[in-house]
Amino acid sequence: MQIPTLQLLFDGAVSGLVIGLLAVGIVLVHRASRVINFAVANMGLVGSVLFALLAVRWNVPYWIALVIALAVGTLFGALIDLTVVRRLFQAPRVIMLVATIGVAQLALTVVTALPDLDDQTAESYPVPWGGTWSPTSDLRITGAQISVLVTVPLVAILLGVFLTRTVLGQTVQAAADNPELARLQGISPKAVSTAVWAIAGLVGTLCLILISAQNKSLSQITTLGPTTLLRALAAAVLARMTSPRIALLAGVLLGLLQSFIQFNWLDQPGLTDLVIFLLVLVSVFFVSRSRGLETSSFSFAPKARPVPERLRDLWWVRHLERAPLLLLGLVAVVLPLLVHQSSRQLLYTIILSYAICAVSVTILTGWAGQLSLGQMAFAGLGALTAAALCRGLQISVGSSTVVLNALPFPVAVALASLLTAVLAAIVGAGALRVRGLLLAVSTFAFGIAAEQYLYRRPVFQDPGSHTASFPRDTAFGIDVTDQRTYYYLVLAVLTVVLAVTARLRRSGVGRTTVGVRDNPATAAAYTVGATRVKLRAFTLAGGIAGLGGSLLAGAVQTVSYSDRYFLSPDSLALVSIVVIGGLGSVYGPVLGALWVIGLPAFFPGNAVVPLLTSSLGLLVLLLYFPGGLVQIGYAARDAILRFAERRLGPAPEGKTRAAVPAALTRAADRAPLPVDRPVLAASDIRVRFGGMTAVDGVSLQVQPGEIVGLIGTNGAGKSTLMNAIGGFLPATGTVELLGRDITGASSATRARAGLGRTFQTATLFPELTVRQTVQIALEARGRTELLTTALHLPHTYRQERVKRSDANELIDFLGLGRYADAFIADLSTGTRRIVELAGLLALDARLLCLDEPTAGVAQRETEAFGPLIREIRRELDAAMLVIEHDMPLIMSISDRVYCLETGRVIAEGTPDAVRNDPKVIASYLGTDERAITRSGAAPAGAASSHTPNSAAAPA
Amino acid sequence: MRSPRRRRPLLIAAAVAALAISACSVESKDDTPSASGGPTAEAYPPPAAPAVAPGVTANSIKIGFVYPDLDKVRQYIQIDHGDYKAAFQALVDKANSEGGINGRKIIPVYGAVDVISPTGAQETCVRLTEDEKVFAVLGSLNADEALCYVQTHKTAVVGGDLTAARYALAQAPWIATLQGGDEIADGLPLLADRGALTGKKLAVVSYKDDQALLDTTVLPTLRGRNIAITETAVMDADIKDPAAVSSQLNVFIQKFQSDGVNAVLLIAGAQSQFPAELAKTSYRPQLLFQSNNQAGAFIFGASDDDLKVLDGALSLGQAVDYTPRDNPCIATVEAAVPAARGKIINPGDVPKGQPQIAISEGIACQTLALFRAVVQKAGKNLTYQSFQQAAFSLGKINLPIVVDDATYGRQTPHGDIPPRVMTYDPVKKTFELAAG
Repeated sequence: MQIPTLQLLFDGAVSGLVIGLLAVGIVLVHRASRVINFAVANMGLVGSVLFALLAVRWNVPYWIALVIALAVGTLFGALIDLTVVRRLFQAPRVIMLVATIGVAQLALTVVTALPDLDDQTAESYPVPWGGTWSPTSDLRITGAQISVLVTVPLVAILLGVFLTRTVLGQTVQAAADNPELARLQGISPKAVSTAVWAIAGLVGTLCLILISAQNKSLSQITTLGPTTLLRALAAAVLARMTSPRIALLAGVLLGLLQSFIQFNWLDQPGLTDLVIFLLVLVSVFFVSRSRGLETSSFSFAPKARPVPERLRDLWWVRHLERAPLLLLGLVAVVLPLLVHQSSRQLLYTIILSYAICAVSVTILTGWAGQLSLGQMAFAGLGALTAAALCRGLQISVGSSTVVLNALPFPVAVALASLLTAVLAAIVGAGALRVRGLLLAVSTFAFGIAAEQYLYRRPVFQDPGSHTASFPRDTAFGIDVTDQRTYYYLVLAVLTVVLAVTARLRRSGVGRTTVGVRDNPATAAAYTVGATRVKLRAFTLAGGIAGLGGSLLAGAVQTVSYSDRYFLSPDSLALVSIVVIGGLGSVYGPVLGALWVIGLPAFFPGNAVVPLLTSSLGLLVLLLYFPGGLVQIGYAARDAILRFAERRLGPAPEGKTRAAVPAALTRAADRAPLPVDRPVLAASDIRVRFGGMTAVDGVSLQVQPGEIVGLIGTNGAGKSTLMNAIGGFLPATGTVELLGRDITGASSATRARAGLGRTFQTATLFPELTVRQTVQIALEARGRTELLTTALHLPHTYRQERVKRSDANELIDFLGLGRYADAFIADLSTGTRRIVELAGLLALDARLLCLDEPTAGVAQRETEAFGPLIREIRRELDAAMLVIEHDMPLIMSISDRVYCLETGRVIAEGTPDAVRNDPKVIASYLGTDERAITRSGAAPAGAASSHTPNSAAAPA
Repeated sequence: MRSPRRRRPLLIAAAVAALAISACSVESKDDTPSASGGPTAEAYPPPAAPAVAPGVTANSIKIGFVYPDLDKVRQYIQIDHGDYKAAFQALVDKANSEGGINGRKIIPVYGAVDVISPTGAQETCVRLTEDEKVFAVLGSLNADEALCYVQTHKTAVVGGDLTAARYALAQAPWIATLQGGDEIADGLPLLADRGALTGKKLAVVSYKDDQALLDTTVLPTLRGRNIAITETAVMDADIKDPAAVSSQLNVFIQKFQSDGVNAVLLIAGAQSQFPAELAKTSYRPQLLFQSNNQAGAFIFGASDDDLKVLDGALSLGQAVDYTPRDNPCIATVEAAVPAARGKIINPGDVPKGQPQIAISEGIACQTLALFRAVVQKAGKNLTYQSFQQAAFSLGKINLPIVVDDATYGRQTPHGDIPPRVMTYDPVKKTFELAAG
């Protein structure tokens, strides 16, 4: 290896400075709005092109043109905020990210409408000084480079001053972290956002002017390709999306790294991108460890209102959803019989293949919440693998050659899908800790690495050439060389994929995946581990992408890995397809593929169609039809259902059932509790957040059947302790449950061992209904299996019916009948807490950890909780650890109470003993005699007036 | 005992392993068959040519004419090759007015490729071959596009870049006037004879999509002539990303400079990008272009200052002559398309910003002339078999525009038009045929 020349190091550093400035723009927007701005460069395109037009075509003096261009760039950024960002202000950040892709396209469209400069062949992109300076004999610095050296540090310093010394700058982070609190403090988060996006526009414009000046060319004014954008994203990730200074430095380092790799390995194309992909993976891993970046769910996913239970008896209602699909299917079957041209049939086949690929994004992004911007890379690798297997392989191993004989077309496709699924699982395992938007960066980097490096491995190519042909012959004994026959084959595969996907979505597989997406902690408390579910989604999505890619390549009988279908822009297009169709909807991919791929094919000469189907169309759709095309269908269906409900008359009252539901009657006897052992024994629990000790050596025990109260001031460490016991936080010390040491176990494993948990916020799963939520908890009694469910085996239907029936019983038991089909997001806090309790009943847990079960509940409703908690203890024969601030309630239901202060136990004993403990009085209850007295008893009658099925009164 | 649930992944893995093993065999390297299924001595093994004649009747022959629909990209980039369809139609009309070919009138089917749509080339290919069932496809075909016709859809092609690697995949007759870069094997000795390669520190620059040409032709040819290569570089930056291209080529230039490279051989896709980056520096190695057309593309978009990097540059290419007097074909097109009159000149001589009409006219003239010659030779009984036999026995033919004769034979389906060395003329700002 050689050290690059001084000139090259200098050039690399200068290029890196601009990349670093772009990364600063990314960091700035992320700090302000938690959005990864994929339009960071293109936002500057309008200003940079206008600058060239002003200075070259219209002969405006350089500095005046520059000021105008920067002002326009700033204005463009502000306009983006006002028209796009504000409209999506409350939207999940992933939707905002997708919107920024549309913004990038919008900028390109604006620039295309401007006059071009192709006739100015004698001119180059304007620079303030066109000369060169050679401070040493081996270093030559151009005027454009001097511009970079002067401008970038200056802008970085000014941005630093803005962020640290100005009120607006200081509010940037605060407004993003907690918009509500910021608003209370007199900060307008929207004004801050406008300022930041305007600055992002300014930074983007500056960057593109600096880059264009270095490139000089006027005929091809710089647009940044995915590889350059990736370097800026990588620098931002290295800066943990927070530090502009580190982002700038990382940009420079990446510039130097690129110079170093390319200098030493000139003939190894794609090596730099592979290294950057690995670098991104490593840095994203560490960033994710340190902080959560994306917790919001996909509330823009179109909500399909469940069919009300009483309408299910109507046959036409049961088949209502299938009707349009059957119609679409009928059209799909008949169309090739009416349209005889093979070229049209090829187009239809390509639409179907894209729809299959898009299903993978539906599962991964729509259900699991993992945004993949490199999904077509899996499709490409699947296609290349299938082509190689179909062709036969020769791999040199030492002195021998392993010859893999050519496999039949369907076997090759099936094996390729399987291998792609395994690859996706490996990539997914690497990215398991990567949360939310950072996964988008990782998968984007994977896509680039695949097209630059992996696709080009000799094993994938025809012997002696750089093509990958994929001729198709027969499948299952049928000749598929004919376009129409192949179309029907792909249609059949798509039908199977949709049937499997729809079945999975309706089963525990879909529910748990959405549950983990919406609230991994609650899912874990319901025994559903996020790792397994995410890995399952990755694997499934990878396999389907590989299948779709193979069939797409089969349609054109070659794998065009270098110029179409499987490149990073195609991955972005695939996301567009899914969002346009309806994110998360099973049928969205079909509608999206028809729109994005089909419309241009059906209307080839129409000038508007390409705009509608581009990222720009996606942007418009996000703004005005956030649920995608499928949302329109859902709206129509809901209207029909409402009509049907009106005809049936008013709904009867929710069922009430005084008797204990069968769902609470255990099918199998529980293992007996260990003799003379507590249900829970936590010893010397210690939790640290950086330098702060939140829980400091706490030990506590809960005996069988006991209700133990945990009280203390806010910040005393109660919830942290409960999280540590539940395995939701890393902690030291030991935790034993039912005599079994569960210290190292995951939260889901602890839940399976019998530890139930509710949360202070009772967020549950906003996008799921009450019934679906309880059904997730019922997974603890029997896991829904992926393979058997996908295969539609009869016993899986039985299991599903049992789960539904059990859920209904539990819901009715707690008086939630009329909310069974309501979305959790639409419920009051009190009702959500009852749903949480229903979940605990479903879990059949031996120890229930309840974190402020009455928080946010009205006083009258709170009073109903004491008896309800006792009832649940009795039915489940469970012990309880309860955090509660309502002193009358906690003192009335607890057998023993622990009081915490600053992470330590300051008192323990019976409610009376703790209430009268001087330390508790001093630290928590205060010296007000009335408060101490009031903490002694629950209101009269509360304990006797409750029945379980009236608990759901809050609404 | 293991539960069935635990056994299931094992069973699946075992099934996959069994399938893989059943499909595998291990051989010593000596036994390994060649890529095409058996050892072959021919560089251009003839493709299958059955006695079939799609699109041919007793008095007509259906031909597909394929060309890029550049209207689709005109809003993004300034590119104009003239009116392909008008040029083809003019020549078809002329041929039909003369009685067709062997008494068969030509029925043209036009296939304008939507260059923006990812499915454009494939759709055109399937439309011409399956919907229209043409006998042969003539025209402008980029890189691997010809394979859709001659490999996938087993349809004869006249035109495109016929490389040995692509020809080996063909399943139908294919003749062309271009070798897709393979001609460099003949061109490099010419450069060597001029002393452009020997006694120099030589670097070779290629593009990622052309690595096959680099690995299979350029490097072996150079090594075969004992020409030392100081550096080999492969550009992987996206050509549509000027920042990435500039950054990477700058690294190449610095490396070459530090190694004392004084001659750079530019292959395929790197040819118009490298000189543009080189112009930003003071480093001036001698540039050697594999393709005169690519060198011309650089000249077309470059400023006068940038063109200084071409001082002393050499390029390889076919000697061409667009004079209507010497090319009746050009005169025919000019007569039929008044807008083209007087504008069909060497694309390298076209003023910047003006359409390069000669590109479309040249392709139309050459491919149709070649097709007519072969079909005439095939006789009345026109099938793929007779077409291929006629092509192999065509021998020398002087095609329109090209100065040198083409020679068609079993091992020269590309016509073997000899490459010529051209030198850059800084006054005319074009590459001119080198003396001798």
